[in-house]
Amino acid sequence: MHEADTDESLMLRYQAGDAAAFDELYARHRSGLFRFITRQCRTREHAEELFQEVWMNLIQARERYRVEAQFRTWLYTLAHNKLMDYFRRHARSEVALFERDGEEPALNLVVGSRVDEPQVRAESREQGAAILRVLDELPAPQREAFLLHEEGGLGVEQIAAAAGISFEAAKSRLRYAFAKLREGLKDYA
Amino acid sequence: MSSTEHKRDEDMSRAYHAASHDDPPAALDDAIRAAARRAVHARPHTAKNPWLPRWGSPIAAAAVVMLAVSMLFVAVDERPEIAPPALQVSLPKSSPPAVQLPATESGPAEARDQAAVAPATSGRIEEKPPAATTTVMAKAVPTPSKTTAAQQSPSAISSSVGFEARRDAAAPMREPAIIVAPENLAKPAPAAAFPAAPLATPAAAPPQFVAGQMAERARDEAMQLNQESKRMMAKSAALASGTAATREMRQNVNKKDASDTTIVSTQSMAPSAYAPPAAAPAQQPNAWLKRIEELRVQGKLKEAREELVRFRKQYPKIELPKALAEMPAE
Repeated sequence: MHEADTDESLMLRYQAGDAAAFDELYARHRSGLFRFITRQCRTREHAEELFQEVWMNLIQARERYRVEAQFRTWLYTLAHNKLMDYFRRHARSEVALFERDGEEPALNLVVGSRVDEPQVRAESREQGAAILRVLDELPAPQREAFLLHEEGGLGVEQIAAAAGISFEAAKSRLRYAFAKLREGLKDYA
Repeated sequence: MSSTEHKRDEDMSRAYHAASHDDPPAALDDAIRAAARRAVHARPHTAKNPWLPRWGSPIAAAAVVMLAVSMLFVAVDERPEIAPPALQVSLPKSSPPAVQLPATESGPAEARDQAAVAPATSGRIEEKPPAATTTVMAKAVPTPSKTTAAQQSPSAISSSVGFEARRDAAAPMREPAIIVAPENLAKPAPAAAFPAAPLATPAAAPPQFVAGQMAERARDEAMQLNQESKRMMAKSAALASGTAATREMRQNVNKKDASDTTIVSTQSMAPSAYAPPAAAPAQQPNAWLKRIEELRVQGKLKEAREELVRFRKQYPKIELPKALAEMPAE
């Protein structure tokens, strides 16, 4: 297996029947995709279930794959769609947040947030643990944009493609996510 | 975004990745990888033979074309060869096998001159497509000895060239045996056909002599054939009249008796009703009566009575001549 193999070439090889190419692809993206899903699901069981469904979708859709965009964009698009289905089943309020595209709330992270609670603050002494807590408090669209950026390695344009939103909306979500995280973690800096 | 914010975002990313270590369980990894392998192996041959969909259609098309071409060649080879435009003079086998024009200086050109008149022949010429006759006639002539171009007239040269080309193109098997019309061999070649070609030379006299004999034979055979056809016509007429008499006889018998019908029709259908010459006239009433009268006059009373009985059965309504009516019974 060549290290220079791109995700797209690996996917084409798998499309042609090379199972080893899939193993390589899976190894590259399994952790990021799993965290992307886990950070947005309420339970780990649901996250594992969604994770498996995303990969199964990819396997079944391999014949239709065309190199029109980056592989990771396609992969996270599949994940996004699965998550939206999940939200519709289990968390309709978060779906409503996704539907309010561009109408980002004010930076009200601190107000009423669990991060402010003394007990939580005590538990999140370390910045790494704190950022996860703050991330959990982000509105779902912003959290997704942040995770697409950090776990998927997607840029603004790719985030927009994966989430099915405009470039400006993706840019706004990502900017708000970072701003809120900075705001929530300023005490841990 | 200021550089400070940018730096803080990078720090936040590093902090996030440092804190985020969740991985899918190994069992889930195995299940997904296994599903991926199953999906690939369940698909037959598409991965291992990627050239097949790409080259399958062109190869199939090429195979079809080759098959069609080969079948065409086979059909051409098996097609019955076009019979040489035969001016076949049906001569007895004992007759001279061929009219071979001697090789003269004019050579093929002269042969063509001779052949040019062949289509106008009569008699037993069986087939004569005019266009091909010239070529065939030229082939009937032995290959002339090589002559120099100076010895030939311009038209003869051109004819000779054409002759050679046609001779090369034709297979040796196709060369006809004899294709000469007797009467026409005696005729001089028309000047209009090959104006520049030399006409019949003294060397052409022997063919004229042979052609006379052949014409005589042909006339004799034609007369024989005519006589034979006349005989056949006479036979046919007799047979037709016999058939008519048989039909009439059968109708009469049908009127009389069904049981007799079988017998009489059997008799009438018997070969004797057709074959013996005497049987045919006996079917006609007048001739039959005349024959019975002859038998009576000859003293063959027994045969005459038997014939008379048969006649009465056949023609009960015909009045007998007085002599026969008063013929004493046995």
